[in-house]
Amino acid sequence: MTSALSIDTVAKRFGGVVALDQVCLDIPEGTFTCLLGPSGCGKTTLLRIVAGLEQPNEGRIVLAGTDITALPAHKRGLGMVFQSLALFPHLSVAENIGYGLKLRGVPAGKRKAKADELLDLVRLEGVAGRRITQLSGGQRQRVAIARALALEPKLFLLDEPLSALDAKLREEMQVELKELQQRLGVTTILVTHDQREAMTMGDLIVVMDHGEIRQVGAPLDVYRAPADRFVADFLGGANLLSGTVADDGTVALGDTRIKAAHANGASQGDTVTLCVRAEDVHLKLGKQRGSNRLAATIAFVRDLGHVIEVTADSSHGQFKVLVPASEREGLGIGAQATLHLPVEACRVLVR
Amino acid sequence: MSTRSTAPGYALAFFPTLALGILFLVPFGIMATISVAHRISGGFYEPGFTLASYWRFVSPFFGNILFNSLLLSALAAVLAVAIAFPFTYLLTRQPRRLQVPILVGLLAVLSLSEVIVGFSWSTLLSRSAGISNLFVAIGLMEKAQSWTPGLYAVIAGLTYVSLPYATMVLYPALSRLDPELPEAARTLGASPLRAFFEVIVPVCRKAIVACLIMAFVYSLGSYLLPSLLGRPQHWTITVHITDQAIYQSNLPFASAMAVFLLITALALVGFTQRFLGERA
Repeated sequence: MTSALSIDTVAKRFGGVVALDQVCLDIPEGTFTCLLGPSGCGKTTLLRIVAGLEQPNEGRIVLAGTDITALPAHKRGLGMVFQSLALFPHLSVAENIGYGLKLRGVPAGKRKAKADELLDLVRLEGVAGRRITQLSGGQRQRVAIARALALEPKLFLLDEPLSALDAKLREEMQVELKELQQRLGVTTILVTHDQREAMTMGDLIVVMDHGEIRQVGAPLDVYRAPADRFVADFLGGANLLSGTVADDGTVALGDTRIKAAHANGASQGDTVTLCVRAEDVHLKLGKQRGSNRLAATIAFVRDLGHVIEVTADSSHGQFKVLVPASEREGLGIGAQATLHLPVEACRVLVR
Repeated sequence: MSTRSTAPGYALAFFPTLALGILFLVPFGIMATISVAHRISGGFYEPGFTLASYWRFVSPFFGNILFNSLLLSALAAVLAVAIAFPFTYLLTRQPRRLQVPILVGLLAVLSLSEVIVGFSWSTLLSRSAGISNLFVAIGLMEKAQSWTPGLYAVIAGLTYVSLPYATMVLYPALSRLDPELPEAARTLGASPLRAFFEVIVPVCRKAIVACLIMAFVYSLGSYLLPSLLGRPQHWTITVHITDQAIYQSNLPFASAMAVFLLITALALVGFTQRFLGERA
């Protein structure tokens, strides 16, 4: 695959604050990339630099082999959906969608046809003549997407566009947006702080923190094999335990030794983090002997419907464990339990 | 908020109504009564009903004055908004710590009385000490020149006093403006200037109309600046009202002119609002 976009050692400072610290990223043609991170991690700044709305202090932005770093936003020909959607309230739906075409001198008849075509694409019919204020949140969302796609952009940028929608509508839009992107094959970058959203839509997830990229990869790869403590915690909230690597290669948590399948190159004596996903931990009531097992007391039980989330206190810290709903019986606060951490589910993180 | 009309609600509405009645309607009633009173030569008037003062006003001479006053005020209002709008827009895009001192400085201008503003402009535009000397110094002009008294001096003065008010009317609307709106226009291919005129200006249309009306009415009511900075032919109707009331001792005619001015101004404001403000 060729690179649709190359972000080459881009740095951005706001006053004394470093927003982006020498970021490098290659985005393959036709992929859906999600920039994921907590607020203030620099993901929006990076997107705005790609759009030309912000100038980097260092580095280059290369779009399909052409350096566009110095090109102003209005000459880049990229489609962008803003967090506020930024639909023009003084124009109708069709005029909003056709605005970019109008600037390019496309005659009115063609603009109208294109607006209808795009409204059809985002499954929104019969609203072309309406005012923006007459639309619901979900409809505005679709208009903003249609407007950004009207110029058939080389790059489709989305800055947390779904954050204003309620949970149910948001999930529907995630699926729909992903389908739309696959149908059009347009290279897309989405900024989000919601890991579920990133996992749902992304072909590629870029986890960012404090102006740095922490990990890049396919959603499941990043989830299954987090590169460091931050990524493991941010994506799905894993159980993270601090320990040291013992002489036999296990991780010593105090006097308990846990064997981990994925050592990640840690060597004896290193202070490391042991990472186990909540759904990988097996919880059994009562005391059990065996390797990779910890005694624990149930501290809280949360019924989530399809699954039960149990919080259990062990002598090495608190665990979150997901238990199938069928094993609900006997799970009560204060009950004694044994946590089994399967060897293949345990990962050692050196950072 | 609540649709219930409670007793405190009535009391709250009662006070401004009363204030408006006493401070505005009563004086207006007195003025309207005087405008139809019989004039007694030599200075006073007696109660009565005659439209003589109004008929006197319906003449090419006073019609011209009214028209010129309206035109002058409209021009000053347009200029004030044309300057205040981009200024306020740029101001709202600045960090807060920069905005505050600029706003304070701007509001400080309001503490200057119109007399000071008028004499300052007349000095500034004079031949002996005015800015034309500066233009001569940097080679833009051959010879220092006096621009006051004159029409442009009046317009400059009226624009100047309207500016802080215009900024205050525009500030809330512009600071609420979604900064992503012009950015969206940029990503769609609009240059910054185009985004300004095609997105920011139309989105703020209501605030602009409100600001135009405010500056227009304010300029129309100003009487010191036209008399300080203008020649008699640039005198606005307010100057003539003062002249009639105080120097000619013709209160009925002054009142009639004032009533006429008020009605014309209200009509114009209503018209503007209807055609520019409501088209949303």
